[in-house]
Amino acid sequence: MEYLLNLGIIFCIYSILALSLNMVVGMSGLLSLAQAAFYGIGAYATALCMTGLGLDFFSTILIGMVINAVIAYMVGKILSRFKGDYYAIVSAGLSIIVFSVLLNWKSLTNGPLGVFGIDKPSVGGFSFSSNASFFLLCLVFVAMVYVIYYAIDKSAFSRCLKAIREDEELAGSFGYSTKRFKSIIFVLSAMLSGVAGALFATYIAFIDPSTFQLKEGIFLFTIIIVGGLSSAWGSVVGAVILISLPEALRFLGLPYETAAQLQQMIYGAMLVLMMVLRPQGLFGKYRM
Amino acid sequence: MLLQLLINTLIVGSGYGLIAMAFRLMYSVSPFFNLTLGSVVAVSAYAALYFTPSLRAGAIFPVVAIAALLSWALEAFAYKPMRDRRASPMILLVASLGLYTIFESVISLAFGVKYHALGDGAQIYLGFTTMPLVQFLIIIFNFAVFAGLSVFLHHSFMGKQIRAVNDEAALAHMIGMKTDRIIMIVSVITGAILGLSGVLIGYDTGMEPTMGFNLLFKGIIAAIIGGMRNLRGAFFGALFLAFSENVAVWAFASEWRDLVAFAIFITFLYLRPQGIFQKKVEA
Amino acid sequence: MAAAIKIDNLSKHFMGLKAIDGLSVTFPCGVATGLIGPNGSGKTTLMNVLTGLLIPDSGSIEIDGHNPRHKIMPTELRALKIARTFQDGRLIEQLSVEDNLLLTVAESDPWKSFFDFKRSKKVGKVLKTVHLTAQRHKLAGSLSYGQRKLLEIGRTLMQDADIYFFDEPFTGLFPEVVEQVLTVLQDLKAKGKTLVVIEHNMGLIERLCDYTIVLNHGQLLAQGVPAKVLKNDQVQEAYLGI
Repeated sequence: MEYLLNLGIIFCIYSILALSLNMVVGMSGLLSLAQAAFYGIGAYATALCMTGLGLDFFSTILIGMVINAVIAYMVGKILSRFKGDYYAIVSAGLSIIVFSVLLNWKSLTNGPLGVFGIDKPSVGGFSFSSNASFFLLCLVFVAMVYVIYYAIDKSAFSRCLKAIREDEELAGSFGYSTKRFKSIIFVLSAMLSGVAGALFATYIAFIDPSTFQLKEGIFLFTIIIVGGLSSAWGSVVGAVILISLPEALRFLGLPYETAAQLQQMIYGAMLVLMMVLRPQGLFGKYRM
Repeated sequence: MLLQLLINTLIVGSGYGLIAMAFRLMYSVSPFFNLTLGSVVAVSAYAALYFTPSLRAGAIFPVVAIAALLSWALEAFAYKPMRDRRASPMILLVASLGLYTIFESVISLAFGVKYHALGDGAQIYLGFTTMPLVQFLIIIFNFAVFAGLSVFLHHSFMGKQIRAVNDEAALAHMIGMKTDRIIMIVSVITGAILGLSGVLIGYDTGMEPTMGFNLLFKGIIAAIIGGMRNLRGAFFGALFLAFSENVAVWAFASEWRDLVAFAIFITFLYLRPQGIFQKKVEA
Repeated sequence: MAAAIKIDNLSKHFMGLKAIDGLSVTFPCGVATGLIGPNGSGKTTLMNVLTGLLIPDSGSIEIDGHNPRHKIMPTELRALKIARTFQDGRLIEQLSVEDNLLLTVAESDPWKSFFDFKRSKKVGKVLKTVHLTAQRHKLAGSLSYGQRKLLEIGRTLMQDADIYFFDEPFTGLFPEVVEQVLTVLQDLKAKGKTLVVIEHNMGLIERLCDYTIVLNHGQLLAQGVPAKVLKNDQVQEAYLGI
């Protein structure tokens, strides 16, 4: 039971990440590999503010979201001029840089040693210390992000994004300032990823930079490619499939490092296979 | 001090330059950011690690051959079939990301994720200073490849065809040029250049499984800073990037090298998306 | 006659090719004007400049009596009440027919658009006009060539513009679809809208247009009533190459 709850919590965290990434990649057709960076910033904001400043979990979520919004706004201003290859490479660069800052700004982040002793969230005397209660908390957050995704998907905002992903010039000629649309969705997606980071930090109680490398961003990217681009449901299904996979590998009894590399290899093969067979993903509504 | 800075710029910039030129050449006939170019560099470095004990410096020959073959095979068995099915550049990019991931994990499985060093520390005396032989070779090869490619692209029939494909793929197709064949030939040339840079960089700075992406990333930045229009831009863009990085390393500390490279990249994209050497052109 | 569009000494060059070469011409208000000329005479380039897709090298443009300006930004088209179609049929392929129509009229401010869920009633009317009611929820990418052209015309109808540009609206259509399109355009004209139509079929130009502007090599060759202009020797020569 505890094992399943643990798995459920991880599903939830990755569903939030996948949903927020799909707003950028699926809904807007912008190949972002930066999601792990915002995930990491959210996690570090919560970890450092809770352990260092003794702040309450829920306010640290907001702090992480604000930091992410500021960074995403600044980078997004430049990113919004581009799409396709350039978008992918700049966002990958951002991810490498954020990792390098987390690793090297030792006075703030404690460098490669990471941050220890992050408490579970509590509200009004009740602590979400059991896995069951924490799982419920995560479910609430997933539901919120899912509803946000759904609402955007039904709004004129997403219609414009979908127009931009195919023909930005045409969308512009209907009176939309396309760069602002691209920049706003990037900021929003970064903020929501921060929430996932906060949940991760408080759940694991110990974080270090190695979790938030570029390969994590590629993994998140794989989740939505497999699950389906521009689909809320696909994001969640993709997360479930790709999180379950290493759990299945665990039964093979391979050494840890071998299993980890094997996983990477399978993720890579999945990306290639999806591109050859079904580029829009299982439940996807958008073909690149 | 200044001399040291310039020498370091030449060394680092030549490493980036080889990759930037290879990237730019490949991009000119197959316009997407092909991440497996990075895999070819990493595979070459590890192949050098594998062959050096038995072949010593002669390892460079099988490694360059392997790199050219690998680059050709990726083109023939992965990208060409996808291009034939009208895959968009985005699909090719994501497929190359998947392939890159596979290569990185295969290398990690075979050699481990730890850092490996390869150099033998041979030095060369240049009259005014001594430097590691391999660094000297990187500089020499960078200039040689630049000169060789420039002559090849501008003065040989094949080179002119490659430039024609660059200018207008559809047009090149119409006038009966075999675009596919040209892409294959370019991928072999590109692979050989990347193989060369993989060996040299492997000897100079050692290797990790992630080196492919990191180096390709610098090469792409250099090519973009240089304007993405021609080989010359990639060559000088790499030197400019290396110079800025080395100034930053000298002023701050070496762990911020990548941060500075990225900051320069972002600044360029913001201020001069057309690169340093190009006049502003209308999109 | 009042001027809907007045351009003065407009030029646009592509790498030495003079697509528009010092052109000064006036499109009258509330009239359907045929914009004709041989291939490469600068018709589509002119339309692209007037709808903000291209920035001219020099010259000025005056729309509906507003101050003369050097260029038009695509984002201004809504405010200037300009709508257009494209020669090659530019649609958002992965959106439904309905969404393609709504795209042109939905909230354009990004923050407000988050809360814009409305489905305009006008969509139904427009779909009926362009005979696409049954295709409402299909993806635009799945439409036939003729349906694509009809949808593009429907898109301009949604926009409730004052000035309409049609780039070869009849090309490649079956005769009965040509008649459908012609009816739609004639209705627009009857409502007093300004139409600019690029078309190679002179019969259709004579049926639809009251005025004709002939371009050649980016310069004005002739203008006037269609029947007269088409008999002009220079026009005949440019077209037939005699």
